[in-house]
Amino acid sequence: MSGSQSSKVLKFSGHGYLRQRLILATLSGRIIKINKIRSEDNDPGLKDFEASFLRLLEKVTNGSTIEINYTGTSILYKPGVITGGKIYHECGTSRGIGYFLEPLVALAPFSKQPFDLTLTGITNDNTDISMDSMRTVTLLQLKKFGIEEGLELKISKRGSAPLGGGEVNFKCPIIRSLKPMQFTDEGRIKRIRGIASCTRVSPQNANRLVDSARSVLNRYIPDIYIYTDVYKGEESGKSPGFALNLVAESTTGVLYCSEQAALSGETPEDIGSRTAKLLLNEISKGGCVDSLNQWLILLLMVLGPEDVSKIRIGKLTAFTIQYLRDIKDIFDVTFKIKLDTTNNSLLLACVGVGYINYSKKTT
Amino acid sequence: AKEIFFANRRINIMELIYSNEKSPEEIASGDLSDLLKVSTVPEDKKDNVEEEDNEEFFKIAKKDIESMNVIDSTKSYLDISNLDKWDDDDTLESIRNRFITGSLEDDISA
Repeated sequence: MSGSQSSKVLKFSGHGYLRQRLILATLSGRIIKINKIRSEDNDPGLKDFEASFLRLLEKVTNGSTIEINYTGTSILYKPGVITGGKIYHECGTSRGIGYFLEPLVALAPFSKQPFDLTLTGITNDNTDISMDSMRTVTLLQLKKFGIEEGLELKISKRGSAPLGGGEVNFKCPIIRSLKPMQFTDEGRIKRIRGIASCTRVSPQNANRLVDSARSVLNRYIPDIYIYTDVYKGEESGKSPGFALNLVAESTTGVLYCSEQAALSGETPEDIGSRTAKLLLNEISKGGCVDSLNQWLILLLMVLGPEDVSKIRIGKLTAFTIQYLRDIKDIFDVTFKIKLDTTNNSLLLACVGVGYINYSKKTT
Repeated sequence: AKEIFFANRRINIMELIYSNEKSPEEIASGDLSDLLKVSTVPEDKKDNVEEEDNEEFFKIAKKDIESMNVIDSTKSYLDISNLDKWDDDDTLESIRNRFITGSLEDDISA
């Protein structure tokens, strides 16, 4: 980054998309100012989970400063160096652990020390990505860019909403630079895997989840295996609950996932069939990456070497569209987007910025 | 002629996504081809609206879309509202070819 570019403060407004802007700023080293954070709201300013995310961001970096105004409606963020290392953070119970861990996955490979992050809170809920999907899908996206050994997410305790009590450990190796990626062949679905988990309820619920999901999916493919993951005693957190995660894998390694956690009063059958139908929905959209992880793939493409990376995406989500805009503002990278009329999917291509992690020595 | 048509189309998708005219939610919820048709039209309409606004002394503060209920999560875009279509046999069959068990012949025509 040249001096003149990084000294200019970039301005954003609104509380939406807060995490991605902070992460992009950290990676690019640019100073950002975010205004109008719920300034018209009855309860203005940052919420507790957003403040908590800022604290976590402070823990994984060194030298970053965050200035928050008196009412909490605007932040000035000057990013420091990503340091990583052994970190413990309590995520609270207003948002799932996914809210905190998801964006950090993009920072971790470019850290000074490998990440060894322990987070406590809610592992499965319906607002944020569950730890099961993080482990079975999100982390596997990193492998496509050459980050493989030592990548690990361990769910040592599960915690359902509202009280949480779960604990996960995330380890990520550091890397000097990414590999470019060309991924346009979506292939065909060859197998479906899943995890039915339950905490503080009868293990029978997990079996009922499996049966109901299978009843929807069995017509397509026989290779379906859904694990039941029952946590007991101390490891099962503070609240009762159950959740299902499903992943469909194609012949070319595309992963589509869907997940649902139970709200009070819902039966395992409801959750099972709803998750299965969501998975079918994802499959029908097509593309080489599922809706949840579009942003990560695109960001890693931008950070990749100065070479063309290409990906096929079925349907852009609103989140991803805003992500593309923020990437353009912060990294000044525009994707070339082409509509493939044969199956209505989009081809996105970009030239990476050649991001290099100088803390990792070449050997 | 076909090539020119597609070249224009490509630019339009990029314009649609990168210009801030439409909110991400609008783009994501609509059908892409529909949006491409409309996106070029409403330029002059906009100017009129702004002029009308200026005539009044007090303005009602426009509700900022961003200040409304945006949940900062990738998962909130998993749409669970229209899953009923998957109870229908035809819909279920329509993605048969996305699985290795589907027939290869249909795939070529699809």
